[in-house]
Amino acid sequence: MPEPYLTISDVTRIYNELKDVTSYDFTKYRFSFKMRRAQIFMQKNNINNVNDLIFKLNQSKTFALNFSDNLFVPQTELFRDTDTWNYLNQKLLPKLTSKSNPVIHIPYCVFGKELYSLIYFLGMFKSEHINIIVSVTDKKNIEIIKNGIFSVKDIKACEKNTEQLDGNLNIKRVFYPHNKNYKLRHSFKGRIIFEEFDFFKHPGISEFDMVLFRNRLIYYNEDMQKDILKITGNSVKKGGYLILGEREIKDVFSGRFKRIYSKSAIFKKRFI
Amino acid sequence: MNEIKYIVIGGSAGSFKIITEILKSLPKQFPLTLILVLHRLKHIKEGFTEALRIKSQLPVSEPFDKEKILAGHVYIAPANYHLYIEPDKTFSLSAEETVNHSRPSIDITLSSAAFSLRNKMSGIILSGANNDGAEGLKDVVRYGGTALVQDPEEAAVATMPESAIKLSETENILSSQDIISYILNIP
Repeated sequence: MPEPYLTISDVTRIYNELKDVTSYDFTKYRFSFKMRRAQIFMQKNNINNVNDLIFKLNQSKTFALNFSDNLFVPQTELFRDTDTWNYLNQKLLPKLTSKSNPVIHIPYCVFGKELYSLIYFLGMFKSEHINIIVSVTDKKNIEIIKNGIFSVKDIKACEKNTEQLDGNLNIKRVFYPHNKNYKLRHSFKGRIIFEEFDFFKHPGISEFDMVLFRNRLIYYNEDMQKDILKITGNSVKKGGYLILGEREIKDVFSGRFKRIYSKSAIFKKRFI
Repeated sequence: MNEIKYIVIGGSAGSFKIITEILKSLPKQFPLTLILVLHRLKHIKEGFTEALRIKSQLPVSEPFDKEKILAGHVYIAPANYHLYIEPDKTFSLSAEETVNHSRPSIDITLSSAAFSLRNKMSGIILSGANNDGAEGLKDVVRYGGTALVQDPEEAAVATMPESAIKLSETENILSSQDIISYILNIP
């Protein structure tokens, strides 16, 4: 079935209905992203008419929740943007692991690819006192992330990435077979704390040594992006680090943060 | 009067030569926006845009998310991101799943540009080895834009132009020299 054609008012109607049924509000997401996710979902479910989609959203909350799941896209690949990971490995993680009880936050975690990429490197430092807080907005993601199972497709997608990492890692050294899928080899000994809450509705939370928040801001509109950046920036300790997606932000919080690596969106919070 | 203000060009294997010829031909005062979506290796971040920049008198850059689209500027879709054109004439990026094994996907940029820019845009498909761009070019036709395809007989790899012609049903099949003339004569 070809992708269905939608109008601006169709997209507005679909997401208003979704909000009514699930209470998930996508008002502040970018238009083109919302339109495409609606088209993909309709195509997968053989729906070619917007009225049929709205009827089904209204009829079944499970169906509506499946639709909203389709908007929480993963950060695409394990070890995405190898310049960032190599810099973390060489420069930031040695500093972080030498601190007492550093806390790293991964907000809006969906499938755990950022988490597992991080613990692969953290494991090399043999440190037991690191805390990683993984916040999710949907409890069911916790089990998915904890299982840490990656498909053959996931592994293939990151093969080039691992080759570009320090030490030109062979994919077989990084993953091991698990039933018909794969798991990551790592020796991380710290604590991983899973929490179900919407970080951005709790702007008072702060004092993280590092926040790893890549390629999520791109799905929001400009106002929402600014609000989230403010909350995220406040949550980083002075002297701590904020890591965003490579092309997400041209300039970030001029004054409060300093870009410390020109090839990546790695920022250090100033002490002043 | 010609309404076209934006040109979106999709290319893959075998398209680099004609892309550089297009860029070389554009005068410094060229008033339109060129948006290039070229299949490229995701882990090669440096060198690609720089190589195109030296061929062009116009500013050439990879846009950041939410960057405003400017006239007289050449934009190149960044590696490993999809590039959308929003109705408010800004770019947005996405790390969604690959389309036709590609990220950036030509289909995504062309379809969103077709929707957002309507008859103010022209979509052009060049040489390439897969079907990316065909769906997008079909949308260009549907929303009132102008669809062009490099002549498959001239293209280094014919698959992409052939599938774009088949799906979009455009009759605007041009040689690389005619594509350049077309672009130069729009303003």
